[in-house]
Amino acid sequence: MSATRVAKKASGSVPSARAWRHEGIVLGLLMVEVVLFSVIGHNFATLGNALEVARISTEVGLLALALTPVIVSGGIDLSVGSLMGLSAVLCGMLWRDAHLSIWASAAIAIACAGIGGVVNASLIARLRLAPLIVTLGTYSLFRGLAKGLTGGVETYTDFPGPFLFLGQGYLGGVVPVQVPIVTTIAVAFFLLLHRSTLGRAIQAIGFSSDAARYAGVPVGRRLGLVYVLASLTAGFAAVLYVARVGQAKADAGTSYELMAITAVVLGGTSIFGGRGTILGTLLGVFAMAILQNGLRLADLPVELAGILAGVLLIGSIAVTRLLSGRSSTL
Amino acid sequence: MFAVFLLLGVLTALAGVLAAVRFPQVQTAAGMGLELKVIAAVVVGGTSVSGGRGSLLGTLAGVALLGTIGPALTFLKVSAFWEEALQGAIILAAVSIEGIRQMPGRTPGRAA
Repeated sequence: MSATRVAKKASGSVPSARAWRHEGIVLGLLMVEVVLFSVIGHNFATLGNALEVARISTEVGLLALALTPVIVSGGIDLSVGSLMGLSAVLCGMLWRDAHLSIWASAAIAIACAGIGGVVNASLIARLRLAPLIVTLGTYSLFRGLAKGLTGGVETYTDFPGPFLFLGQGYLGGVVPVQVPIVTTIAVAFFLLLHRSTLGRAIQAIGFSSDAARYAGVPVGRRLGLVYVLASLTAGFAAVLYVARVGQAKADAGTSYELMAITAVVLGGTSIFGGRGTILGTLLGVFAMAILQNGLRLADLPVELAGILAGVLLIGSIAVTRLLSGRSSTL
Repeated sequence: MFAVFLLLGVLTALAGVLAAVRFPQVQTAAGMGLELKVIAAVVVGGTSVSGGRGSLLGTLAGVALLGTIGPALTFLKVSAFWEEALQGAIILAAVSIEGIRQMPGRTPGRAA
């Protein structure tokens, strides 16, 4: 950790020039994708398609937003995708088998996701266990509970119309309902990470949790909050997912955590913590979503998306690193 | 460091060949989700995620423990769909015990 890095960190919660530079690269990448697919794709450059991309990237986008503070704090949460599965199953079960209203079921499912977050938070913040391992354990546990509860086969369908509107409806006949929802949550996470003392504390912890403790930051409580928030968001993403696809199954959100983490890192958040922006994460989410959508509309194999996402991820990090010289650590 | 990753790649390929011999068909989805199970086995076997501590014997024990959950459930006449949940619970229990044993003086919140 060089002196320059310390100096940059010390400038506070405003993202450093380097972070903006990375975001510039991802933005450039996004534009290249858009131009390329506009040329080779069918019906790619239409408003309808843009809104559809926004709709299908809702759940991964929400997870990525919630994972940004987690990764900035120097941690990781692998359990969010599994928690989506568990919340989806609980939501369906409470509604169909316990005969609760769909809204009450959804609320309880989100609350249960919060409890899952408390499990993560207490093991990480209280017992001081490595987040990678704790959330690897809950990754199995939550998905396993979802599969066990449903016997692996049960699928809940035929949800009421007003609920499905949440995932399939259009406001004013044009804008998917998810767009204003995700925008609101993105703004909330932006304010949390970049405009609040809490966000500053999270960045300080990610840079050096010992230093943060000496500076009077209640490290455990702050970390706990970050993980509970991630889990609540995962629960909410599950509800939106169920409303969008119209069914609740144990496999909801499978491998979404890896897509979300890829988007966050593609957006310039350091996997070692301390640095990262919500704007970068949003750009990362769109870069991945447009890649997938564009390949499909250009009649290219979707398998390419996985390969290209990996190449883009490594490439964008390498370019940022080359541009910023050797003094920085990613 | 280079040698370690090289060895990992070679051994992974070996596992792939063994899997191809064992199962009648070859799929690109082979080994999906296994990486996490493997990390779990290593950690349950006592290797520290932050590095610096671990043993091959422990890893073998971890593999054996996680590998026997499935058959054990079958014998206990419990639905196999609970296997993953149990696996998660075992991982959490193993690391929690370790965490309680060395409570003071560790840095929380670091991924690796």
